[in-house]
Amino acid sequence: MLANLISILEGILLIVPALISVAFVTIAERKTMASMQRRVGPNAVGYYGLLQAFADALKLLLKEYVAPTQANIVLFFLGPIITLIFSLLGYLVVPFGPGLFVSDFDLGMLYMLAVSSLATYGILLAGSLRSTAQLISYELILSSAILLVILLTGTLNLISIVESQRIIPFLYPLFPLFLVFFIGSVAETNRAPFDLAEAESELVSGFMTEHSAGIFVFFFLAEYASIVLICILNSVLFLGGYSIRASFPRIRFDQLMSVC
Amino acid sequence: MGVPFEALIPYGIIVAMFGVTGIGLSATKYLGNEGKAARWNRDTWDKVMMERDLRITGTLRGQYGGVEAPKGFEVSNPWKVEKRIF
Repeated sequence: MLANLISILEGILLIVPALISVAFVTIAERKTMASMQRRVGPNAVGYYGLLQAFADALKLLLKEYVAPTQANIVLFFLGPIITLIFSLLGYLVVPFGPGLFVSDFDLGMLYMLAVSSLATYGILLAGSLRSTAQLISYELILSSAILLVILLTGTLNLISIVESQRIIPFLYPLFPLFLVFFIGSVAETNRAPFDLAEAESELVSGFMTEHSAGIFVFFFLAEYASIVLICILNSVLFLGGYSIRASFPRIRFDQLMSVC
Repeated sequence: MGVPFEALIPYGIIVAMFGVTGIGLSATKYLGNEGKAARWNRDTWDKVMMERDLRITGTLRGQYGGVEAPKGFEVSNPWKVEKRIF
């Protein structure tokens, strides 16, 4: 009974802060872009516009659902739900600290890759071949980069991968690979200059143009949840994950003296 | 013009949310591990030892000081006591 309660509590502790941080990623993006373009950005709702994302979500949830007459209604509504669920499922194996995980899964990396691949089906159901082609293509690059890290560490467990970076983060020995992975992540998350799936100037909002109200929120949350997840993956694979705080090796005194 | 401080507030909140998850998970792990920190980075040997502790004491984190296995240890293996379907 206690074990079940703890499992439910852990799920809530994982999902709720993840969704809140996803909401604030949208604000962070808009505020940062605004400062780069000499604008103020959202600044009306809440202190310094911090509650803008919640106001947007509330507005969208209260709007009327509109679906194209020729659309398959079940698939039309299922697409965003599938994308959101699979984006959030990836958080299950994220290590938050030594011993702080929801699931210490030995095949964690494989699970994360599989779940992120399944999220593509939601976009396929929404009818975007263009976006699906992009996601599938760049997933190969990401997987290849991850395979090299797995080759070095000899494990698929995310905690073991973090622990093997105690001495030196893989960013230094694998810097070219990090660049490849970073570019692949930008393409995988549909950010500029790889935002061809959305292409605001030509396609309005890409594959989610026809989606409105609550299901648009699902797509939106899924997109930003996958951005946060891929940032976490970047950190775990190349920056030493949670062990970044104090991972400098101490050199011997004679080595220290020989430096000067 | 640099980045105004108000653009950095959301980043602080995002980091704080990760902290909330971390602290919360720390609390639940202590709760579920009889007041001890959760075991992590376990290899196969650790898992086998935890399985043995479960069979001897009834919990994964249990400790037993006796030199002989308690009564019932030899039949507490789930493979031996499982009910056969056929």
